[in-house]
Amino acid sequence: MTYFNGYFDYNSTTPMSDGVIKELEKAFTLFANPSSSSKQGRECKNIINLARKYTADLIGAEPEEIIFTSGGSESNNFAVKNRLLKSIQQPGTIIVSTIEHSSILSIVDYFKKEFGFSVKRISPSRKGFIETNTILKALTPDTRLITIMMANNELGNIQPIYEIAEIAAANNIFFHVDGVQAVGKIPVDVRLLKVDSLSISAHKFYGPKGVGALYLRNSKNVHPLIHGGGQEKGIRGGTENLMGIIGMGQAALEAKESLSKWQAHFTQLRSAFCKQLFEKIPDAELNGPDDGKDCLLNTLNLYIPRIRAEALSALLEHKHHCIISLGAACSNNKVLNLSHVLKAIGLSEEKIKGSFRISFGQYTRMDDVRKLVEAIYQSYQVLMSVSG
Amino acid sequence: MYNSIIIENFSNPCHSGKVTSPDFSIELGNPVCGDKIIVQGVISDDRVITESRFQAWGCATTIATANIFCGYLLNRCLDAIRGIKTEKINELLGELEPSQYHCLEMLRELFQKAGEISSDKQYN
Repeated sequence: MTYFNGYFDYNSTTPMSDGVIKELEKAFTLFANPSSSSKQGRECKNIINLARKYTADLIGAEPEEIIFTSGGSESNNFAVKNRLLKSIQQPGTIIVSTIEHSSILSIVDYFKKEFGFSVKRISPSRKGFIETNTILKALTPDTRLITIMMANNELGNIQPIYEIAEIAAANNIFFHVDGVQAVGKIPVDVRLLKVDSLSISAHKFYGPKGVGALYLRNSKNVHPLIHGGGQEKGIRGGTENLMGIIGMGQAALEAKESLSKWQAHFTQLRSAFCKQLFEKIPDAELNGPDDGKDCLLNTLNLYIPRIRAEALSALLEHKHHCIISLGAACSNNKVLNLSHVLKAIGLSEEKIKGSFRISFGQYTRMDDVRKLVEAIYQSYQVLMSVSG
Repeated sequence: MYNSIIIENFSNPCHSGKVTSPDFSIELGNPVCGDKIIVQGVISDDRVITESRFQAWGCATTIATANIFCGYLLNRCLDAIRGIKTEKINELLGELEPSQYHCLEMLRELFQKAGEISSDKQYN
């Protein structure tokens, strides 16, 4: 078993699991083209289909509803492009939250700029939730697409996807869900949720980087993302990323089997972390949901007054070998890079600069949490003494 | 992201603190990122800085900048500080990333203000 005891940035990426590495090692010598009719080619195709089944099983889909991609950003781009290209003659309205991943915000802006779609941006509540009444209010007769992420990467909020899907279905509107941060952390069942498409990324749940998938409920009349060799039902041409897909399939299989165990583990880690940290730094605050309800249990977004999180992060990394994530990047003189998510929930610039994210994973141990709290406290004391 | 000079100086900010009876105080801030540095020091009769301490609010590189500046001032004559070449100032922080350039500008400004101390009547 591999341990990553100073790593607290699992929402950014995860290490490949031992099982995934083992499957990849076994696959190193596979070289046949999966589209080849040779015996070896058919074997590779079968391996891909098994990985497709495991990936589908993880989200309650059918294997034929899964299209392998290069990752979450491609899946998000693909889903949005596919839907909006169908309405290009009559551009309408796109409903999107302000806390989406940049791959959604950027493609939506692109369609606004290039094709004249109008965009209604939904702001979250102070605690980061998208409220369904804000979606209802934003509806217009020409709404072509609603796109909302299932779980927010920075705050951990789990959005009311089921309720929004009902609104979308009742109004015959395509509903895309960015599931990148949710899949592998919470149970996801696209049949129950009734979403039209959902993005997945393997490296968020112990698979390799550079591979992901798009669940597409109805793949009829789809605009191909890559025209070419007919792979992925002709929707995404190009010889398949065999190693990536094998790794993703194994990761999906493990996630499905381990999900409830991981959730119980995160509950314990979260509880211990909060208890220890707030004892040492009582005026620290949680930016996201404060009771752990409707949020990813592995995710904590925190604010500590009077210090810069960037300096805290640097001390944690270089003195204590702990990796966390920031709400604000160091800026140059012209640009200030503040988290658009933390801005969207109304945090002041000063609060964003003092905010950081901790995200646990399956390899985080209780002892790691204790060491992290101690490291944060020591770094906090250094920064307080420096600022006088 | 951080070079070894910056890491060493923000990890061990040995010159942080306040001076009990300072002969000078330099204060500057960056209006965009909000970083702020206050440097205080003591000057001997023969115009040598015998004590220099800083307080800083800002990113890791800002803290390192303040520490490097105080370390440079220590035991140096005011005239030597006033005469420091731009190339030397640029070398003090090592190689920086674009997002850290504002700290080099802060360091240049600190030296500029330190140079002005030597023109004060008290020390002329």
